[in-house]
Amino acid sequence: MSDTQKTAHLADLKPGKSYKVLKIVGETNIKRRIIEMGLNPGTEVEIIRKAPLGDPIEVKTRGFLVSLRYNEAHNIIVEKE
Amino acid sequence: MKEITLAFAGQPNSGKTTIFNEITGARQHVGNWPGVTVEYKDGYKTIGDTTYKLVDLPGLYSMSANSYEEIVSRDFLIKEKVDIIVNIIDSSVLDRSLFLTTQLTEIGLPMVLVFNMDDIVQKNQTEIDYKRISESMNIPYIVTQGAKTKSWDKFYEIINEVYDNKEYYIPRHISFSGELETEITEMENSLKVKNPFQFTDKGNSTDTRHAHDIPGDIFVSKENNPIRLRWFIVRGFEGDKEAINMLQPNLISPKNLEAQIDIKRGHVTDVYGDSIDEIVTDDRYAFISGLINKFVSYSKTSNKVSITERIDNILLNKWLSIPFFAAIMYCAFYVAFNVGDFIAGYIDGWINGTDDFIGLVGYITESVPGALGELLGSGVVAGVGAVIVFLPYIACMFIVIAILEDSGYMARAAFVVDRAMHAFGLHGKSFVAMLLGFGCNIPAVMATRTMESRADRLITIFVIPLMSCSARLPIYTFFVAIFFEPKWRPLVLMSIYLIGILVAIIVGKICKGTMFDDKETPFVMEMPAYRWPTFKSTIIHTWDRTKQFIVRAGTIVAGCAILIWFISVYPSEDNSIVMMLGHWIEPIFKPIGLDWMAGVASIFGIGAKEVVVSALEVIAGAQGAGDAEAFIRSIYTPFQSYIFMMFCLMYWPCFATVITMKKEIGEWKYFLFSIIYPPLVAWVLCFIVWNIGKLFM
Repeated sequence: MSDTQKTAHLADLKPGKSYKVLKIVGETNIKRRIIEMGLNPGTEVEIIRKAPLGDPIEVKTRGFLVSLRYNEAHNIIVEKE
Repeated sequence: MKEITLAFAGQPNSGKTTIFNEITGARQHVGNWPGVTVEYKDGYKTIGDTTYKLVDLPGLYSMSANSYEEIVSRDFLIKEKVDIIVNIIDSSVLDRSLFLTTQLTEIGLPMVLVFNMDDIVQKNQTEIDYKRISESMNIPYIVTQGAKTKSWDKFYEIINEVYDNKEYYIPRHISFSGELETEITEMENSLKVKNPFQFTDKGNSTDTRHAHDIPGDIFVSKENNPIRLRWFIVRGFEGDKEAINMLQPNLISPKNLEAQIDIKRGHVTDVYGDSIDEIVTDDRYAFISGLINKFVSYSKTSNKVSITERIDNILLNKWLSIPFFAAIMYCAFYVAFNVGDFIAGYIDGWINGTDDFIGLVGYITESVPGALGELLGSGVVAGVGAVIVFLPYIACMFIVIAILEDSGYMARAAFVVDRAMHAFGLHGKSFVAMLLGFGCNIPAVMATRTMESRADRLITIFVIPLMSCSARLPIYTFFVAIFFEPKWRPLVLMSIYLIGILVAIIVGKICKGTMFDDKETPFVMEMPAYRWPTFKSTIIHTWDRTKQFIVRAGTIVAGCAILIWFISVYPSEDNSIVMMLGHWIEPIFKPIGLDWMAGVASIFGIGAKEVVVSALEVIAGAQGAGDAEAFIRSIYTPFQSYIFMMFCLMYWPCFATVITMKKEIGEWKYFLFSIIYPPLVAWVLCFIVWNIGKLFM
């Protein structure tokens, strides 16, 4: 992967912005599930909000809403800007 | 008379169940898939001399065989007789919906695409060329608008056409990139199939229906369905060992396909540096993107999500989400309990005659002579009646669940509380089920069906009996009224409920850590667009579940009621089997500070919890020459009564719940755990509290 300045874990980013998915890492089961829900590399994903207790987070992709736990969102590597 | 079997496949929230209900109406049957607790639904529709058998597969995002739902769906499509796969597509999220479609096309069974939610597509001003999308996969299609669809004539027309001309409608599958495709094709050509089957080219090249690349494909001729050989191989490459095992018996050579595929998988991974999963999903999405770019044009704004987002901005607002959640839950259950309570009061009055209605029990007992009258009245009617009394609660709760589920709020509720529940090894959706448990454990156990992960679901079922249901309340109020001053009563009551919740949390945490190897199951959950629940689907949902409950109450619970009645009057009422049993089990109750009467009452309570009180009154009445309450006050201390309340809270779910749990859990080992741990936990806790408490009393 390229420069760490340019990439980030989706879980660590603040709501309100769109990012491009670069790679999904982690365990096969979870990785597969994330990709099958439409969050495959190349997709635009916007963080909508965090749940009141900070976890899970709600994201928007391909025109629909998905919620992910912090651990799962951590597996999604996105491009910053 | 011919029967055409249609398998309905689609992603969750695609409107699949709505369409299924529209077509079959009330003529459907709900059950579980053999061995597992995934809901199974089929229904029939007859037009002229053709019967359409519709099978509603569980909602699936993909066919990767990760989950129980995916496995049962795969097995059904491959092993059972299926004529046509009807793939319901949410056209408003076309790209994600088509992902499943690309997997279904590989199977090689004829398909029909139902592009549903066209009303939303139109509202969003999206233009979709359905015809060209379908043609690219050689699948006929119809466009629908969920429950608003006016006519299904076209649907049957297409189904009949496909059924009569299957060879024209074998779907076209996608090709994967470079090396992987080469490996798959090579393997396809090298395998020797026992009874290969090919659709012959009829030579009618002017027929536009004909997909000319299909006849070359080899199909594995199974008893029921010809399945494309390629499907098994692709699945094998994706790591589905079960698919390879299904193919192996149909092969002359090689003898060890699994080993061969493992080598090839390694080779492909080496070439790409990516896992095969990634290559395969990338290629599927690449194909879909191609279709979208060519045949879909989106307007600038997407209306559907924006309304949902606007509602979410309020309901899921950082500060307001928890108050809203609490308010919605409170309203929902307030209505369910109170309406249920109102109707249950009438039924109870009618059965027991405590109101101005005819006391059915007394009437039957008196009018049918001898033991038979006793059996019918006190055994069957009273027993089943005890269960039927719950019916209004249960039905009302099912209505509430159906509305929460269909409106889209259930996913939000799970979102709001997931963090808190996750800490206890549970899921956001566990919360709603557990909350229901305070009304009645039965619908609570059934409500866990909406949970995707089996581990989460089983743990939730395990702890639901610890939620103090409304039938346990009479026990508490009985003792609290006898032994505690009015000012302490609410506190005592609340502490009992809290003990249940606390034990549930500990049990959940332990189960998660020990029984299910703590592997996190993905929580990735769609937040569906808000919709108004339709009257028809709410009613069908509620009726399905209530019907299952009635069937159980009518059979097994009646049997148990008869048994309990029998052992309580034979050989004679003051020296019955139950009493002997009570004395026999007294050594179990001694160490926790209770006596044989409590033991006997507990046994009765297994039939239905509120019976504990009436049983205790009967026994104590006989012992104490009439005044049962005075007698109970004289032999128990308040502390003992508290121990007994604790014991009643935990020791055993009622029979109807146990039976529901068996149905929903499926596997014997988990079911046995679910009924063996409660009495153990109850006893150990009561033992500790009693022995520590004794020191201070």
